[in-house]
Amino acid sequence: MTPIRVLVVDDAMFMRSMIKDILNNASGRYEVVGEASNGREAIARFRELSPELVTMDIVMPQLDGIEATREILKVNPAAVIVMCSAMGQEALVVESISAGAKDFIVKPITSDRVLQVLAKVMPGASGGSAAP
Amino acid sequence: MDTTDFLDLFASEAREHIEAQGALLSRGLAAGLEREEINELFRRAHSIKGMAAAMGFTPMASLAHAMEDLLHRWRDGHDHPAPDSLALLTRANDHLSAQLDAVVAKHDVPPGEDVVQAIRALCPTVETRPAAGGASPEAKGAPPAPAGAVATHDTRPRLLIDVAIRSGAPLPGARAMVILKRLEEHGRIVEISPAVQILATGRFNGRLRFVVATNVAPARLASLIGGLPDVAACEVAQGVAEDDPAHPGRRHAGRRVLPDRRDGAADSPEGAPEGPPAPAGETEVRHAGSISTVRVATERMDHLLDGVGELILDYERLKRAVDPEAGSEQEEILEGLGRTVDGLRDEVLTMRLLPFSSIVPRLERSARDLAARLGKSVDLEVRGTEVTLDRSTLEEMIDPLQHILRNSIDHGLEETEARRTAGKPPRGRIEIELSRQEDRISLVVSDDGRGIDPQALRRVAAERRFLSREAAARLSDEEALMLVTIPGFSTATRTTEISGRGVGMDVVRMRVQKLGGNLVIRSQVGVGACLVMDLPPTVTVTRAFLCRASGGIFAVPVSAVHGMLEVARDSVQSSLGERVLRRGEDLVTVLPLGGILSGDTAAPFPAAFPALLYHVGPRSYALGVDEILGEALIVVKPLRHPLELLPQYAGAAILNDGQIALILDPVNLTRTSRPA
Repeated sequence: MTPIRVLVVDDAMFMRSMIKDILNNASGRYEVVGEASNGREAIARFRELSPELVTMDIVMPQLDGIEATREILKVNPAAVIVMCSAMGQEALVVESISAGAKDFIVKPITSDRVLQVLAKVMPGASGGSAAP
Repeated sequence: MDTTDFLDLFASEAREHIEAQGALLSRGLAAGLEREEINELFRRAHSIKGMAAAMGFTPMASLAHAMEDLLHRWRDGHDHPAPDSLALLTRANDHLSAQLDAVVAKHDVPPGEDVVQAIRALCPTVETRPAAGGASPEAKGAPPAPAGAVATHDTRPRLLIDVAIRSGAPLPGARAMVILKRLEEHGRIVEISPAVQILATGRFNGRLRFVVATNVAPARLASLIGGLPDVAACEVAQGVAEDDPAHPGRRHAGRRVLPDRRDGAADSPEGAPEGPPAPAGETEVRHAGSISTVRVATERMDHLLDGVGELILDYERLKRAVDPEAGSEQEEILEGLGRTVDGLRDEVLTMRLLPFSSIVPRLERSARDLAARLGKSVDLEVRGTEVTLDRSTLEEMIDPLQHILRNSIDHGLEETEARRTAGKPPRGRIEIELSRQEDRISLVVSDDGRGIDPQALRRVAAERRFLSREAAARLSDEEALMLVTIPGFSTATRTTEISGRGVGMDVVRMRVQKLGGNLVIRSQVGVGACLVMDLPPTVTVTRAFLCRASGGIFAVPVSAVHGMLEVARDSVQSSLGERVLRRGEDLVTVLPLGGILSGDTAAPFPAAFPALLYHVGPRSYALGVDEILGEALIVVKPLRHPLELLPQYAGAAILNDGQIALILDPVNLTRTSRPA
């Protein structure tokens, strides 16, 4: 099974490494193909790499994750974007979801939680809920 | 039946349908109608017909009935919506709106026979629909067919979906939004509770209910939603196929489907998970015990807000009166009370929020009417319609916005020929844009017309002696543009002289300020004009007595006042250094407001003056004023530094005429005015 290609967007290198670590240890299901540290970079990387999945921080310099999500969805309306938010940013997450992000994970992140959420948003991913 | 009790409810529901139809129709005129949109129009016309008939408003019922019949033909594919007939339906809908206005104003309902005939002409065989109640035409005001008789208006089945989010789940509002979006991928959301606006507030309690029109099997939706992270339970039941106005107590005959079933067929004895609503014989689940939305008359919402406004002022007074020691029980109780009051205020304010989209149809209608009357072509674009505002603010802004549109269309936008010469597109363009900026709402109306010339305004101001020539010359462009908002300024000029602004901008500015907002005008001559308003999204209002003293206007919250009386100077006596008045058994201390404000509490009284009676503890006071102007609903605005340091004032309010009234706190006023 070919791994799902992921772009990790976060302005904190720490967060990016952590997410990368979780994804790279998910028995070959995911492959992190690129990283970006702000919204503008995220859009450029997305155009260049066409990843199947994007994890997107919300509050970032230059261009925030919500705007980046809108732009990326203009590039590819089928893009699967999962927001990565801190507690207390509910309004921003709600806005992101209405802008078209598929789901969200909340910091501090745990491996189980990240994998659970990502499994649900990827079509055909295991998760026990796919309809026949 | 006495229908007057239901009039408010009827008006608000009918208004909702008419405006939704208006929005759908104008979308349809621009881009054609989707099947689902035709269905929605049909259902709404059907609802209006039923409600109007029940209320005995026959002209409305027969007009809605004609619209319904035409829509029925489109839905069945007999005909396709041509631009002409869409325009006709738009006219019919506008007429419905006018009829409703008349109903609300208790005037005679204008007949709409010509429109009805015009629509009927497009549906040659009117009686194609199975008439449920026999041959009697429904337009005569007969009640609509009983539910269950015939499923004539069958569309996609409706599913009632209850979702519980795991308690303790992070960001439940965001989770709810994910669920909402997921459902939208599989059907049309007909109803959602709580309102979407609540989801972003952090006060969402984790329980959601949807009504969704969809062909997807209930079991499949249940497993789809039930399988999302943090969803504790999801129940899906089949609902009735459409809402029938005659039967608002909606029945949900259906199966409860557990979230973990993978296969819809396993749940259905007939093996037909996508089939029509379950036939009789299955368990009927009545959801009467769990009504999740309630319609409330707007008047009651206003009363609730008044009450909360008074509560806030009283709480502030209480806090000052008690002045608890740090760490004391009183302090703790007051803090708890403060949190409760704040929470209650937020809840009430949120409840009152409505999206701007709710007034867009009215704005579009005025723009359309006026453009047609003046023979101009105008495109109106509204952006940010999802931004929410307090319903009273929205309502109060309809007039000013219509006024601004009128100015733009009448004076701002040039004739087609002039536009061509100026190298502009022949169709004039007006844009309304809303956005939320931190805790303010920005509302910008711009047009690409001829603009306003500040130089011309300076000249007119000087000519008409509003300003000296020198003062006028000193005005910045922005200040000069604001001249149009001076009362009487624009009426004193021919609109052509000021390059296109009509009367009434003073009223617009005053209304905006009264709502706690601000207005700025920008313009570039030849390019267009732009009105930038900012408004608070919510308001806190209270009832107050307005009175005049020392040339100023003051507001005293009604809740603080126990009565009014007329004081004759001769009845005032001196006692222990105070001036008192005997009222039955009581001694009332007379405090002249003017004297307190000027620091001269011993100034002689006029021969007779009105006073507001209030109590502080066991003592009674009469606050003497020059004149009591009456009672009014005021929008409470907090005082900014350093005014908030004056304990005798609880806030400020901007009155209808734009004057500012300080809100008095009688208790503290008393304290500061008396030597211990």
